[in-house]
Amino acid sequence: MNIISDSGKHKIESAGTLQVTPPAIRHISKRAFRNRLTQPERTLIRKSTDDIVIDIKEELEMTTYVDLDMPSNTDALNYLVSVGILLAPRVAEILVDGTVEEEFKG
Amino acid sequence: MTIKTSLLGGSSGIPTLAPDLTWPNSKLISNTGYKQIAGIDATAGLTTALSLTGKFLISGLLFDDMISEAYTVKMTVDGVVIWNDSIASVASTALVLYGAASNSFSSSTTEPGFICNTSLVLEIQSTTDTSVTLEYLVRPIL
Repeated sequence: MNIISDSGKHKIESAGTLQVTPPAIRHISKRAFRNRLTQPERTLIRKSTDDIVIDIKEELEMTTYVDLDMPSNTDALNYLVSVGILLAPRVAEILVDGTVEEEFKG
Repeated sequence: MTIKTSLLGGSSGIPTLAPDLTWPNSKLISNTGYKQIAGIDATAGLTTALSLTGKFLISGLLFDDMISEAYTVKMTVDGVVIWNDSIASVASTALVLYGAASNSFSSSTTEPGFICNTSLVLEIQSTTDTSVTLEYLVRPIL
């Protein structure tokens, strides 16, 4: 059994190992996700008449938070690349781990 | 009017926090302040995922990184078995036992904490899962 902490009066143990580095934040708020897009990118999305881009925009408006690991979100960003709204390197930039400030808190 | 003090968690009523000097820093790392224990090999019978000795306020317990198979979960608080149940299959990778609104403590907790006065043992068993993760939110109290 591994000792997680022991103050003498309070002791915490487990068969597992305490993770020093917290898990990556992969659920971020909708506002945080929008802020990851630049103003020109948001404008291009808003003005687009492409049905799929409109669908992506509506999906974002309806959701309560953004799961950065959800494949459909990656697909959506890749589509925005394909129609020239995003540059290819932006996909990885937009999908980086969230910060504490960006974290969806429910 | 009679107030049933037994409902207040002890004769002194509201629990008093014990020294936990690095708590503010943990709140910086994770907004909810939970801790994560990984690599719990649950295949050798009931395995202790979390053992608390002393008086604690428990606000959250969540198993994560689970696989699609049966698990047995048992929790003993102050020597009394509180949970002892077998789950046929976990629908998602997380099993919220206490205090999380969804499969993550990134969401607000929905239940008040409970107290163990002397000890808590949370055990888990599975057939093949050698790397269960436990997320927990506890505070030592006086």
